[in-house]
Amino acid sequence: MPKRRKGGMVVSNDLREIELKCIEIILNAILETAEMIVGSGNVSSVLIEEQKRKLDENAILLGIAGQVNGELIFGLNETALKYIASKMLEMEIDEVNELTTSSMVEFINMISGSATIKLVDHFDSDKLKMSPPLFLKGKDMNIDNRPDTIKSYRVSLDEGIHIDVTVALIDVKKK
Amino acid sequence: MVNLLIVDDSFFMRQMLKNMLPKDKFVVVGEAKTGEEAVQRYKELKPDVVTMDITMPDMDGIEALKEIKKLDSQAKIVMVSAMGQKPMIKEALEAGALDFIIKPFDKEKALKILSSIKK
Repeated sequence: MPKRRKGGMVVSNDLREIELKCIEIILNAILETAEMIVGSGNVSSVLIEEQKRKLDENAILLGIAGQVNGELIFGLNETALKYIASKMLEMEIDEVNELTTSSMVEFINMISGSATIKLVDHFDSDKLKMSPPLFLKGKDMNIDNRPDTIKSYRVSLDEGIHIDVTVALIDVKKK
Repeated sequence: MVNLLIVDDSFFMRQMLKNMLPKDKFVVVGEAKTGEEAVQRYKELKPDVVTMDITMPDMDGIEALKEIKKLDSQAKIVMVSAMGQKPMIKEALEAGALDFIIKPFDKEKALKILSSIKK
C-alpha cells in the first residue's frame, strides 16, 4: 500500500481518507449551522486553495483534541461579521461592539457543537473535544502552522458575504 | 413568577435568553459567566430554575450542575448548550438536569421547556 510521511511517522493512505472524511464532516456542520442561522438558501462552499495563509481582519480559532487533533480557523471581514451578528441578533447592526463580537463567537460555538456531535457519531467515541472559540482582531494575520492536512474553503453566506475556513488536521486516530 | 439564573459565558446568549423570556412569567435574578460563579450565585440567590451552558472557563456546566445538586438535590437545572452529543446529554441527565436544549434552538420550543418547569 502506498505510504506517505507525516510528522516523522509513516502513515498509510487509509489515514488520509479518514482525514478527508473529517474535513467533509466539519464542512457539513459549518454549512448546516450557517444555513440555519442565515436562512438565505444561498449558503455554499468552495475549496479556495490547499493552504490559505492570510487571514481577514477578524479571526476565530477552535482547537480539536482527542480522536481528531487539529485546528479550525475562521477568517472574516467586518461586513461579514456585521451580517452574521445581524442574523443572530435579528436586528440591523451598524457598529461592532461587545454584543456583535459575542454573537459571532456564539455562531462559531454552534458550529463547534454541531461538528463535535457529527464527529462523535462518526467515530462512535466520546473522546473528542473542541476548545472554546478564541476571537482575534488584527491586521496582516497569517496562519503559521504546518500540519500535513490543511485545506481552506470559502463559505458564501449571501451575495458578497463570506467566511474563509481553514481546517488544519495534525492527526486523526482510527476508529 | 419564576426566578431564573442564567449561566453562560457568552454575553450574546445571556442577552438573548433574557430578551426571549416573557416578563410576566420570569424574573432573571442573576447571571453567571463560569461554572464556579454559577455555584456561588446559586447559593446566594436560590433561584427556581437555572439555565446552564456547558463549555465555560474555570468549571464547565456539567461540573457546576453536579456541585449545585450536591448543595440542593431539588435544584431545577436545564442545560442549554451547543455540545449536544449523546454521551454529554446522558451525563447531564444522569447528573440531575431536567432537560437539555441544544443551540441553536427554536425560541418557542425552548420557552415551552422552561415554562413547563414547576416551581
